Amino acid sequence: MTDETFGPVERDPAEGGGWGPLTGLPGNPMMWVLVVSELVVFGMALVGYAGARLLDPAGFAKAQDELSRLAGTVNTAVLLTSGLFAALAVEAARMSDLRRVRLMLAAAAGLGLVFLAVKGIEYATELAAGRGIETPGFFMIYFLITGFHALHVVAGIVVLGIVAAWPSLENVQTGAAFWHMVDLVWVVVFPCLYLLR
Amino acid sequence: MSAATRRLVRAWTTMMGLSLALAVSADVHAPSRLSLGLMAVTGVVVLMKCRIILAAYLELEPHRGMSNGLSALIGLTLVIVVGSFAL
Repeated sequence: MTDETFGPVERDPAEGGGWGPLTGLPGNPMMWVLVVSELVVFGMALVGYAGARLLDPAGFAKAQDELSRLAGTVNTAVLLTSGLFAALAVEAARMSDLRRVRLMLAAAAGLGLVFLAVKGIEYATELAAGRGIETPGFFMIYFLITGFHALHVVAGIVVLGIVAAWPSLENVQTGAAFWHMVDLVWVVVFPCLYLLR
Repeated sequence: MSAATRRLVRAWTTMMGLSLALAVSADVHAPSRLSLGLMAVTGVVVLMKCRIILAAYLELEPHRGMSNGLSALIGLTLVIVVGSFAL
């Protein structure tokens, strides 16, 4: 199935010349500014986590043992698979296959909802045990970092929905880039918070 | 299945395998702490997964500057986090 909404991905050099190193990257260059900014923000948060852990290594290690590594691993698999569907949506957009683009984006967004559901179960377990964002030490940072990441998952689902409504190749690449950034952040956050102890 | 799709599925399979290996490795050692060497290996594996996402999912393979820059950013973060366990 073809659709006239699929435009050429190549950017006019004269038009894109002002983007410097971002020129020629897949999708809209502004998304790459956001991707780099978000990686810096999450990187700084993890550096802050490392600093806070130094103040109470035993307390942090004990708190980490309360986390469900299984839930974190499941969510890693869910996001990696979701990222695969987002990347396949870009491939489908290249083939001008509108039906497949929307199917892949829906699958990616659906798995995003699964991620949030698993995260919700984890949060509910922690809160039921009396550990919340107001708990000093590890759990305050855990809820801040993973909660901020979960908000990005919600935003990513909205972005994928918008892209599915206007599925030009550039739009799909731009939406997928945001989704892969969310994926990338989790791939780093999960081992730092759950595994390294 | 197109070559591009095959490449993406291969990237996904590799990352799933690495993720499973990390999870099993961490769980085998629970509840005892990981050695610094195993933490360093974990950091390297995480960086490998990030490189795959950057190259295959984000299609940065032809854009070495951006790919290496983002890898350096992630690598620095991991070095600081893993390094903090040595202090």
